[in-house]
Amino acid sequence: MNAARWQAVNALFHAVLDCDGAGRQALLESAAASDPELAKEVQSLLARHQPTSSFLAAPAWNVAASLMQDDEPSLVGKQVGSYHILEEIGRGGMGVV
Amino acid sequence: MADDRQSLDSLLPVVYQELRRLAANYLRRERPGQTLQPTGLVHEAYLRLMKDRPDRWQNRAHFCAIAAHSMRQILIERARARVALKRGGVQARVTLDEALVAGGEQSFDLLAIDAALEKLAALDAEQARLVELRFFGGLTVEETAEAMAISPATVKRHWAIARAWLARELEDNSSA
Repeated sequence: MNAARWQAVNALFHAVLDCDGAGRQALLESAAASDPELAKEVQSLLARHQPTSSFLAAPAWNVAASLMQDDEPSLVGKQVGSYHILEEIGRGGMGVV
Repeated sequence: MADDRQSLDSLLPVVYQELRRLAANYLRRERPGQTLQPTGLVHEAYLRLMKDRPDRWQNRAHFCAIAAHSMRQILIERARARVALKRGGVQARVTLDEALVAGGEQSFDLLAIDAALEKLAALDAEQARLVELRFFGGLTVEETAEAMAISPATVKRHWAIARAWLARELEDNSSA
């Protein structure tokens, strides 16, 4: 795939989406007759065109919130040996107290 | 365009530093489980940097483009650091847990999205920029349209096909 080919894919993709049900099928069939590879590529993308899917729907910053938190999971409320951890006092470069 | 590129390169580190600082502050203040709002971060950084040197910024749209790129860098940097930390361990990939936000179960690989976006940029630089603004910058369709000086309808069309293409790239990636 190159940039020019991608432009052709874009054009057909949107032309198909702009049609209604029967028109879509007709357009894809006529495209397949002249350029089967192009029609196949567009069909594959249309199959993944799901406007309501959650994919990329929320901003990265939001879904990556856990990534921005400190890497060490909290031990509060857990048992370590014979000690029960009540609260976290602080954390720094070397570890968590 | 050359001027644009130059100003982007020189302003990027400024925004990057500011966003990092703000993000760190947010994380200290907020309770675990709460999520960061990218628009809030961007807005705050914008106000602070405007007060500092308003002549540096052409407009808010210009700033948003730089902020989106900085957000991407910050997140990718964190993701890479985490992968390095866990190398040899059980979990080598960094997944974004959407359960945090939507209650859904879908998770995906941030570094894979970044790599796929690089591939998209080779096919269509505008579309890759658009995805960066929306996904990494948290901009709405209308804000993205303003930042790119195109119509909201065009944003929606580009977004639709870019999203379908990226979804397929990530499938191919995970089945490989």
